[in-house]
Amino acid sequence: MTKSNNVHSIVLRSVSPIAHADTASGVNNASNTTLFMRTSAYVNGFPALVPAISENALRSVIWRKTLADHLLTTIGAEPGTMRKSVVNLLYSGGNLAGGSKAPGNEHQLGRDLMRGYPSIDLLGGAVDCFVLPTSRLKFTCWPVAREFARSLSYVAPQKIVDEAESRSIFDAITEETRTRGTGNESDGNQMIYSYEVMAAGVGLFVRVTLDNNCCELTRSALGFALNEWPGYIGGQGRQGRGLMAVESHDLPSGDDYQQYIDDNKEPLLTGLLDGTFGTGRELCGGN
Amino acid sequence: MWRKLKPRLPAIKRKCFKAGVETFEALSRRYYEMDKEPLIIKALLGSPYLPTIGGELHVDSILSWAVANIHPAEPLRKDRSAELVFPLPIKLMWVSGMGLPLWCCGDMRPTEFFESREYWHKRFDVRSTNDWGAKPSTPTSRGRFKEYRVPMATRITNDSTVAAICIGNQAEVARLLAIVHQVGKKGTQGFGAVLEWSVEPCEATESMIMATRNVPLDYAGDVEGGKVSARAGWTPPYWYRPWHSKIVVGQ
Repeated sequence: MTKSNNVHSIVLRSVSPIAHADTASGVNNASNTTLFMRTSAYVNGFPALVPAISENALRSVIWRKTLADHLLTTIGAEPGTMRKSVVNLLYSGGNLAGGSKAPGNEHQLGRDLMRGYPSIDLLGGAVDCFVLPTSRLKFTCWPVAREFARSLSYVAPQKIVDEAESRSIFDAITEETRTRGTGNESDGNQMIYSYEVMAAGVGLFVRVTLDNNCCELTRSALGFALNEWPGYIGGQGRQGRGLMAVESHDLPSGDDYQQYIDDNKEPLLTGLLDGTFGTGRELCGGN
Repeated sequence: MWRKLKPRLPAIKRKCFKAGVETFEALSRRYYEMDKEPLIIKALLGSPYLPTIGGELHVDSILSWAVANIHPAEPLRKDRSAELVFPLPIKLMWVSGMGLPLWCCGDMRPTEFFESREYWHKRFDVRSTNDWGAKPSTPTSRGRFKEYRVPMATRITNDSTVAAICIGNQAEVARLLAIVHQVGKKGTQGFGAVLEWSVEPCEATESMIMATRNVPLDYAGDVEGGKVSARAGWTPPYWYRPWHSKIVVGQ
């Protein structure tokens, strides 16, 4: 496929096993092993649910949470001062408020907001009364494995394709069982639970695309987030699961974004505290 | 016929106009006068895709998005209306009384597909709200910040391909499609990733093409067969209800 400056790639490698609970198969209950996340794919001519990483989850941990944490700490926001709807927009993409009605100039307001806050321009979201213009960031993540080798052959370097053809993703899935005991001090029941993990050492190839009208600051935010990302995906991070290494990437430098935030701390903070985002109109109200 | 579209064409950004960028009127005329031939458009997909409610992927919508992204359009017309129409390098079949175009392009469909179900989750970040929020207590089982789990009917195709036929200019259609990396809904979550486009000449006729797309009843006298359906979209943006009308769906 034609490489353009709107297309980037990232190669991640799991340093510890990834725990990433499934939502597609619907077979989870308290006594079953929690399956690894699955997606649909044709394998050997038959439709199947194949272990994969949810891009929606990856998007939250690499970009949304990382950029929101950095923004709030860098501009000097005090804990306990932000409106709930503002925090929700930054960390979860926001929700419309009940009974809300879009203003006549929603396009103008949306554009002004997103020009001021590149991280929101990158990821999109919703304020109280309207949904912002769509996210500029679109990406797909393929585990480097035989089931995805055909797709990877169109977008990834040959060494990644060769690696993909060497093993099945099902060979990288194993099971862990944990026991949560009560100690000797009480008679409580033990809690035993099992979940599937994807083995350490598995590669993930991420193709990132931006739209043509994406400004340089927003591109810079894309690269900045990857550098700042703590490196965990999935669950059980408290037990060391899901630590990833960034093996390679060609995202833009994050320097411009960092400089922009450093130079505009005061107006950025004011816009978040009053819910206007610098547009002159309260877009996120309440507490 | 392209002149009938003029009232709905977007303006271009002022700085671009001053720099001599082609206006949408000029682009519309240029596209209308281009040589066109029957084409088959194929997209090779690298992940499941989410079609529209009717199951289609509309080629004219995809191309309109591409034109809007390549050409520096203002999001609003001079009268502040956002009801825009974008010119396409596709044969213009008809323009409705409202000034809406019917393009000679079918919908993208797979030859064979399997429908699956995946979910996306909307979560409320309780930890961050506790850290930063002025009033941290938030019910997440009801109300505005309720967490929800949304099922999505996804499709995978046996040959990873969806295809459509149209009458258009091969080079320009290929140029526009080169910037489209995703089709269908939820591209932000990785669905509908396009690995490769191919645009090749084929033997399709106008009637074959119109039978594979929604056609408004007002025009349908020119289409044989088909059946009248409820009000639905037939021109981009297909989701925009004020432009819906009774349609004839293909045989």
